[in-house]
Amino acid sequence: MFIFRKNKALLEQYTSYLSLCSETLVLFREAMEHSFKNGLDEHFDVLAAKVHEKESDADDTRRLIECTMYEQSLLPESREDLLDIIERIDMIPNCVDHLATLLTIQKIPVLPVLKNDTMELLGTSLEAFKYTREAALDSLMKMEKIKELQALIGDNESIGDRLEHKMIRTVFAMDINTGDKLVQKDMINQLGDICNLCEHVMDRIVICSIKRKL
Amino acid sequence: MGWGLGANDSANVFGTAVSSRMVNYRIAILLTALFVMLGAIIGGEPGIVTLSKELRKDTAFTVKNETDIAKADRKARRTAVVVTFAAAFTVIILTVAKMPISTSQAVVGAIAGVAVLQRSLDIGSLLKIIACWLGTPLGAMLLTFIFYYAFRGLIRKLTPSVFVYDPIMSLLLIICGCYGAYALGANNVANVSAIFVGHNMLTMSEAKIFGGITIAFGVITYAKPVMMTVGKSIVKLGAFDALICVLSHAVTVHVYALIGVPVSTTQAIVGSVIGIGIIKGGQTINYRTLARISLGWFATPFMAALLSILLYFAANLYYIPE
Repeated sequence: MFIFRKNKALLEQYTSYLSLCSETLVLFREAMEHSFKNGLDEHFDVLAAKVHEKESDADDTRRLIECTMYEQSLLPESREDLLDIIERIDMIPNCVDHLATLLTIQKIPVLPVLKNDTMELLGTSLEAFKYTREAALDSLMKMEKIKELQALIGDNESIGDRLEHKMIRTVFAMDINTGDKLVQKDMINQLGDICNLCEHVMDRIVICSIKRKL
Repeated sequence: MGWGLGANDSANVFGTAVSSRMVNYRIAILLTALFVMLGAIIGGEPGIVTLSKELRKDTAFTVKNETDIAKADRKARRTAVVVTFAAAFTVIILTVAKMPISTSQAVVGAIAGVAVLQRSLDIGSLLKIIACWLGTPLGAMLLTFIFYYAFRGLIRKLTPSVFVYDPIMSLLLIICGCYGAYALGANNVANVSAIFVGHNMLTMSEAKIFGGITIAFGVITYAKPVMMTVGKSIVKLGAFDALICVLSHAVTVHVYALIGVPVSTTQAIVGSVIGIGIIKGGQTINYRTLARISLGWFATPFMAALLSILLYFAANLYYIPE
């Protein structure tokens, strides 16, 4: 029907936005994997540029969604909720883009001793984002899996926190200068932020779905 | 009177959809004006009959006792002017005092006031009208309970996605707005033109068209400020609650239009909003505001009656030289 046609386009844009965010994270993991194998070489810069490109694409799609939302027949409360969810999700690709850029500029790699934990943390973050993406779509659909996904994201966030703390402890136990320790700590915190941001998005999704339940 | 009605009461029907940008303001006022006209022309007759009955009785009484028909006619016209003026003045005063007003109550109060002086008040009709006034908010509240739980059950069963639910809700708000405008025209046209039918100044068809046009004129020229204010305050309830309010209000007002009793659309919408407040938990109701609204409803007919008595008395003072 004509009244649903425009919203179908909006749904497609939203799905595409979530995919772009996911692709940004996958590219970042690839870049990190490369940095552990080959250091922060030219190829890493290329991968970091790709991360930035995806993040920019996601930003463009987000702006398109915002414009489309106000042209279509979404109710004000749905517009508000969708906008809020998107803005919170946007912080995730922003976070990895920032970290990739930082690595490119500073040329200080994450210490090799942290490789396994970093890759595990990134895997956990990617999984958390996968659930967040699912929940972000489900909150606008039938809202059948919200509770289950909330629990899964909560678990991932706890695992992420534990890994983050473990990595910081490792760094501060090492015999390196304090400045290097602080730089490493800052990068670890940013890596750990992905899981935290996923949890924040999920908290908002839960509130939106409660609001939608009459 | 018709202009004021259109400017004020149209906010109750389309305020929600307009202020939330679900429907363009121009389209909303055109739809409101169109459906108000349709309501007045198709369903306005019972209300006009009810309000003009008392005055017709008054005219018959006057003509029977006056030998000069022209004098009786002048007296009838004077009555019509006094009633309209008293009602309009009451509406203006209470609006300035920021009290919630009911045009229907002002008109009935003014008619009753003059009828008391003329000793032609039909107590039975007046009691029927008062009973309906009490029934308006209560009826709207009851309908709110029924519609709320019925629609909520349906939505919970279907759990549609936002992309389906939202356009359907927008469409329903527009449809209910049109229905509300129809009910407004059908019910309230009597407030504007019944007085002229009662004094044989307009025929029934002329009265319906005249009343419909004046209300529609008010809608087209001055509905926006009130529409935005009322709409925004209703929207805070959420689209579903707003839809239930608009629907309950429209059904209530339409039922009274069928019975032939002009009632206040504002009372109906306030009844609906209180109904939603009760469903959401009594603590959400502001009892101070409720008391203020009730005071306004109580004051309007009395003030209009008093004014019409004073005006009618003054209009009939003659200088008799010794």
